[in-house]
Amino acid sequence: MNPTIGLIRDWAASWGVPAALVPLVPFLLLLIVLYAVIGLAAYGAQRRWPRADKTIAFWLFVSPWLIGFCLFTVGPMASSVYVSLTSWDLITPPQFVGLANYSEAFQDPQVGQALKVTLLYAVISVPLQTALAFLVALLLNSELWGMRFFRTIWYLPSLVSGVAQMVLFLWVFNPQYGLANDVLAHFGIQGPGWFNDSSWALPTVILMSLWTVGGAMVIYLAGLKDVPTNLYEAAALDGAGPVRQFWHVTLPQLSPIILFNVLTGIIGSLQIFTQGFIAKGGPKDSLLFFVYYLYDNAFQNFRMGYASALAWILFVVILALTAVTLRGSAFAVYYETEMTRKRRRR
Amino acid sequence: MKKLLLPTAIAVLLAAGCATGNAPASNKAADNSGEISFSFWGTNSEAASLKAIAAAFEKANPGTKVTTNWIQADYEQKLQTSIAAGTQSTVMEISNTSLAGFAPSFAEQTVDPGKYVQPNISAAMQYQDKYYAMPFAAKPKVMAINTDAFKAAGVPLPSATTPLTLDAFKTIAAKLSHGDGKARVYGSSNLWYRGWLTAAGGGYYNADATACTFGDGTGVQTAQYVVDMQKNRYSPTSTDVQGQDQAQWFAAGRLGTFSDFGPWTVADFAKISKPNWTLVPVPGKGFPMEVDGLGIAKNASGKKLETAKKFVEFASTQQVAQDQLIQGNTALGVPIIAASTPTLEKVLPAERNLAAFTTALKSGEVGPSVAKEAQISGDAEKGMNSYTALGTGKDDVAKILPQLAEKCTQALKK
Repeated sequence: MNPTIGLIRDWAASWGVPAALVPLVPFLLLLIVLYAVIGLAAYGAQRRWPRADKTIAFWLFVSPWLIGFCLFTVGPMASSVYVSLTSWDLITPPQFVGLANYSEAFQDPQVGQALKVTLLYAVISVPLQTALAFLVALLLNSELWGMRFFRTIWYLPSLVSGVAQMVLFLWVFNPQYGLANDVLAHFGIQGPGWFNDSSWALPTVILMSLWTVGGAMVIYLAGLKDVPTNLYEAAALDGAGPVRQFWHVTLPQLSPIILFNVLTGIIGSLQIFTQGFIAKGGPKDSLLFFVYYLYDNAFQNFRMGYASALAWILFVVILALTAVTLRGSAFAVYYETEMTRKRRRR
Repeated sequence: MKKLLLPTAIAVLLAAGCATGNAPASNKAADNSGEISFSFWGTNSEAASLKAIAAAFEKANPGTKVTTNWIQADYEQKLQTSIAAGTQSTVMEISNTSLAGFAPSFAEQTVDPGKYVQPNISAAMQYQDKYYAMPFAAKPKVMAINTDAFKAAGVPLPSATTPLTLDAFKTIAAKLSHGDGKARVYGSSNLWYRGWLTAAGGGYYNADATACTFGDGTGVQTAQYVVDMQKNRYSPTSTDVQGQDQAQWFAAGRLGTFSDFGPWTVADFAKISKPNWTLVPVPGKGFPMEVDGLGIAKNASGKKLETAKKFVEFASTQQVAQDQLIQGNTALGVPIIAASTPTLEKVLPAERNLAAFTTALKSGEVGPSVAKEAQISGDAEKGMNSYTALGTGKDDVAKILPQLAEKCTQALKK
């Protein structure tokens, strides 16, 4: 523990602060100090630039978020950069090892396997989820009696937490007693080993991920409701049938929403963890997802430095893929406001 | 501007204090009180045992206070992060298998081996010839047998005190097994390879933990024994028992024997009146025995350290504390001092033979403690389960196990 924080805690304990509240005292003091600094800066700025009242007010109002962001997001991230350059088991003091963790990661065959499994999952599951969610949204966009009931039914699985989902599907796909193989057996088909078979484990997780497309479906549905009806009327007047209307009206109008869902889908799928954790990496590392391997190194093997290096490698991979997707989307995504701006410029 | 100097100075001083450093906190004020904190894992009943021990200590030592910190999940992870933050409890529960990894953060202790029922109990708390924790509970394993199934199959009941040989067990399991599909009755519960390896006289590591030995002749032979038992359907495979509670299978009459029976299992089995059951020793040399101890934080000092030492001594050697390991019909572990050991035997009627625990305690084998146990054994077990029929694989154990043992030895040497 930092010696100053230790001193403050001792001081608080000696003043009779209840033990449970003692850790809060240094944090509150730190907040007071930070606000003293911000207050001083604001006071100084106000004296120097008397007309900057609005700017000062903005920074003061935004400061609670800014402080939280610096303390709880930027701070740990910066700290993890340092930790990634050390060898640290959390018990003995960290030892600086330079780029050794990064170099080890590039030679670690399990990192290769984890990247392969994770990317394969992302490449297959994201398009499937996108297509299924979009298709379901199109079906549920019809104004028929009882449609709200079906919308609720489709959305409900999204509310089930990851661990509960995985436990449920372990039962469904149990090779001996599971529902899936029971149903297949009725048709005379001998079901596979699902999670117990290295060649079936990843397809099973992908199949499982389709159960929770309700979240994306709701977003598509909201987008579909927002497409102006006059566009369809104009297209119909021009002789466009339902297929042409879909390709030339619905799809372009929904393209920003598709991009949003694809982007969040890619980021989410690259961070998949629970399924690998519950299946303990699956047979022959078939479910060794990158974040699970990272967790395993940090909290099972207690290699905090190596795990931090893995975290930064994943960050770079996600950043690169997001950038590529955004760049590629420029040719396929239609933004009405951008067009307006371009027209105005012309 | 002078008005600004004081807050600025305070800000700079406190900001400087926020810089990272590894020096331990002074803890002067807190060290002079007789108040200590105590972290432990466990179920509701196990936590009740440990809280009762803490309460008994406070009663026996007026002026002391033990604040309990029951960590219900991810115990070692939380312990390790608290050690990194310097906020660990004064006293921490630790098992012999994890001791080596935590030893650098524990204070050295003085343990008198003569106070316990057998020398392996105190030896389990040693790492590199020094004691880093004081033992307070042992968890030997015994085997439950379905006596109704034995009678129905015309098989004589095994001795209540002498273990069966592995071959005799296999013959019995074969006789008890019958039926097909989901109604199949297995002669044995799923076989835990590591346990059966010890039962066969082998070990996961050699005595000084410099090599992994599960790939040697005994290791391969035991693995083949487990695979054969599963292949002949005398015991269920890991896939068969996935998501299943084998104690419920036993209660439903689907298992003739249940070999992974620890003290904490007593409460579950106490509810089973039909089929009739009793306990016997695990075949061969028995399963490895877990010993739980109490470590003291290395940074504890002053009166806090004194109180912590008194507390671990109390929990480890006083009958009033050791008797608390049994709460109702459940047990955190078997008491390790002679005066308290028979306490567990009285929990259930004599025909259940809880005395088998006392027998197992006196002969229990304890494996060496390895610094990166979770990583090393985890990788090896993952390999066994992935590639061989010990898990879901199909490869030959005679080919895979020596390869995994070699990798494991290399990891030990790192």
